[in-house]
Amino acid sequence: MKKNLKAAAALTSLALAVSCFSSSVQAQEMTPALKELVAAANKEREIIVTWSADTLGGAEGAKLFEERMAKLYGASVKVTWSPGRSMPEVGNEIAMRYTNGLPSPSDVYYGFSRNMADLIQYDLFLKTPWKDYSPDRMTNEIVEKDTFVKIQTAYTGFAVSNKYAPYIPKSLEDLLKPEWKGKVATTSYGAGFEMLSSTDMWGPDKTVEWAKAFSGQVSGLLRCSDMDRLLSGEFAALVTDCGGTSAMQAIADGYPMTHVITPETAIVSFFYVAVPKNSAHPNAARLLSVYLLSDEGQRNISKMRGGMDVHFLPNSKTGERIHKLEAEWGKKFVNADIDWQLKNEIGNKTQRIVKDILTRGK
Amino acid sequence: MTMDATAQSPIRTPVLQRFDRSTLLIFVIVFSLSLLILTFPIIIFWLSFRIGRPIDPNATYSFAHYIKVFGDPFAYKVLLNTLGFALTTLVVSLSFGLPCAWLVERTNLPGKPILYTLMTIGLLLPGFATAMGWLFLMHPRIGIINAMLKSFLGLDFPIFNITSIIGMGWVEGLSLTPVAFIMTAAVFRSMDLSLEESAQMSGADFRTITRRITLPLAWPGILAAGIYIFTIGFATFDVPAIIGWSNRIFTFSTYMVTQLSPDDGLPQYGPATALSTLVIAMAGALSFWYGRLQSRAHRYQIVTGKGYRPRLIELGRAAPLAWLFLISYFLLSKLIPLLIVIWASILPYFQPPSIEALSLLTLKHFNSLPWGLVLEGLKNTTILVFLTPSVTLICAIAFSWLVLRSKIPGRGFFDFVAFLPHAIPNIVFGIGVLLFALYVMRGIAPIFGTIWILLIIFVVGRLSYATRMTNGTMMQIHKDLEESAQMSGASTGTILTRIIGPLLRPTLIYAWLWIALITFRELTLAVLLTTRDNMTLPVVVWSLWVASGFGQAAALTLILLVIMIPIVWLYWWVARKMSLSQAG
Repeated sequence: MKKNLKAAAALTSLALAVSCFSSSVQAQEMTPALKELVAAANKEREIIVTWSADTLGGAEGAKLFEERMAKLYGASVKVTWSPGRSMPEVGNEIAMRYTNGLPSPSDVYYGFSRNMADLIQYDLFLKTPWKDYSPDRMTNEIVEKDTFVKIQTAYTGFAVSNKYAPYIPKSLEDLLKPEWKGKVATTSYGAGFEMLSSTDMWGPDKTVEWAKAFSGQVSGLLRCSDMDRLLSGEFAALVTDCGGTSAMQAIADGYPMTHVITPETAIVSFFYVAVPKNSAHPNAARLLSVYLLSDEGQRNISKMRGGMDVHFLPNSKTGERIHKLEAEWGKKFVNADIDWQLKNEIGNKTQRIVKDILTRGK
Repeated sequence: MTMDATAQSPIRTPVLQRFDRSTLLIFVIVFSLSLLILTFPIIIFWLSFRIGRPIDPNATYSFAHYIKVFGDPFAYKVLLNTLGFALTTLVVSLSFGLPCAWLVERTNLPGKPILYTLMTIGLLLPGFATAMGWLFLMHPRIGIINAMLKSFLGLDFPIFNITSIIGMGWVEGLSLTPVAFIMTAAVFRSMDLSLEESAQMSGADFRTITRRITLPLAWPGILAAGIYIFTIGFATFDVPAIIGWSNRIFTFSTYMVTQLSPDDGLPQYGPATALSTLVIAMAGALSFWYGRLQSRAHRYQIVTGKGYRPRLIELGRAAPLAWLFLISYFLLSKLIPLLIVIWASILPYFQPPSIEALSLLTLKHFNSLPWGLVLEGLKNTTILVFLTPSVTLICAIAFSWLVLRSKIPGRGFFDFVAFLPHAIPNIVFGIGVLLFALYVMRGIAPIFGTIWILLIIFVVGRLSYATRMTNGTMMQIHKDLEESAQMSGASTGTILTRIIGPLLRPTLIYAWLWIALITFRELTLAVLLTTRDNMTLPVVVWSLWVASGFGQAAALTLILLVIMIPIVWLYWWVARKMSLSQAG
């Protein structure tokens, strides 16, 4: 009940904050390109988004975006959420459908930098004049290849249940200790291991050696959003947890969780949005992307995603945490964007090996 | 039609007496559906050798997919897991189902109608619902039973582990016990028991009679049930997906889904079809073995007088024990797992019952359900629940008519084709339909992502059952009626609608409801072929399980079960009326 009250209070404050702030946003002039985009989006009338429930608030998030886009841009676009599989699976389904001449299951693809880098080979996404819509926000730092828009920074770390973990681990080596045997879960897609095994971090040999030892500790496979299975005690930790968002959100909601980042995982990646070429509503999808990167959109994302946003935008909470850790450790975080992922051939190759080791229990 | 015209018509033989429009329609239905059914394994076989994208004109052919699959130890592990799972399922379901059937058919157990009702209703509970419940009951770390036993016995290790092949087989076996019960009850019911009674008269004890007479007599029927259950267990998706997948235990169905919806690239049709080809070969061998055993079934036949009714075994003081066994089964297989699902649906995250947990109760999982999608899933499911049994039964009547009433050369082949979806695991047909929609129909009729693709696979999947039902009843209808109608000038269509139809009606209503209910809860086939646009309710539950965790999935499962109640009640009412009319 306490949690419910807390959630209700959070939603109320979010709504209040949004309504107070909306007047200032409305005051901003929409560029001619954005006005055209709104008109085109209104003709499409709807947008379907497919991602997990905790990605941008699921059904409730979709409703909020619909209302806010109406208020801010005068858009009349119905936003429908559909529960999706993991980000890589949704991305591959879009690719499969595109290569078979079928419409995309989601008008906007929400994916990790690695997913986007993997999908580039299929030439799947629409190039868009993003900077024309929002010159102040959609800068070269935010938009990659005129296609991919960063909307959130992602840590490389792990989620730990305070209640069921033997202790809060301080390093990846800690997880190899006997106390953790059979209590740890990982993802079926080896999330984060392409970064850990890059030459900027551990490199392939150390990562594979660690993964072989770690495989004996792993008792299950989870999706990044499955925090309730940590809270229930089914598993004590999720390693690695693809961005830290779900853990951070659970912490923000008052659940007994910890999100661990260690100096050995001082690398950040990004979540992006991109509009598939086989999207049924490409303009509405672009408009939603513009909204997500707007000041209000970023604040809403931050509220839905455990205080996380794009760390180099002004007033970023994520940026604050990163700067603090950089000062503490005396080392800079590596920015693993799409270009970085494309160059990280060794890491990508090693990730597949690690994935097999961890999922098949080799 | 005038008497003169009838008089002038040629005398017909009871073949496909004349090729009128109705007959032509029957032939078109049977031929088209047979072709469709055969197309699916052919596509699988073809793609298992094709290297490159299926639509690539420069694709080549080789054994590369077979080499890849069978060179990978993981594939053998998957097959061994699947065999272990299917065998455990078989053993568990027969261990509960056979005694239940024996108690009902061979003893004077009181309250038999209740048992029948509960068994039938039990079969209709979706496997994923009970799987979720069992996960929370016997998970090595969070299982309530394990926690209680650990606390009671002072142990520091769990007694049970549901996240194992045996554990998963246990859950699936309990779920399929009603199938074992229904199939073997029919065997005990139709079994002639004079040999047993003779043995009893000769002083043989109960054990000897069971071992030497009852089981050998029932063996062909038990074997049929066993093969059916094994085939279902081999291909089932829900229990391995809910319990196995997240614990790194893959069976054939979950492995196939990972191949067809991978997280590191485009779908791997090649390895999936290569493994499917092996499974088709295994299913063929199993069916062949079964056929050989069936051909020797006459050895178990004995001759007695007509209308013979065996004496029921008096249970006496053992009756309460028998009911204790039955109640334990229902508590274990249905009630307790369902209570756990209810519990999971009203907690923010799962935890064992406690005062602290009670203070956290919430309806947030119900409130936060994606209602638009749920309603869309309900709409699609409702359409399929009406269309699937209707189309399946129309096709089944056509098949039965052609096989039993015509003298078309090779008509037995069509019966074999109708039986194929029973012999080959349904998921293989699902893969065939998926590839058919993507690569054969893409330029003709884009059925991928529509409910029509689901209708096709559901009809194909239920055709074996439907034709067994219509064959059985049609064989009991004497041809004299039809021949008289033909002599009076009735067309095939008129005979079917005015004579055969009314006589088949009770069977058709019963089969219609049964197929409707199975369609309502179907997940294995649907999960392969659904997209955002054609989701059914069970697939929405599955999607919520993977995308939102078990709270929302449990909440929607409960809603789904509530929706099923009126259909289950209708089914039970019809079944009861039918059994009463038969008894009358």
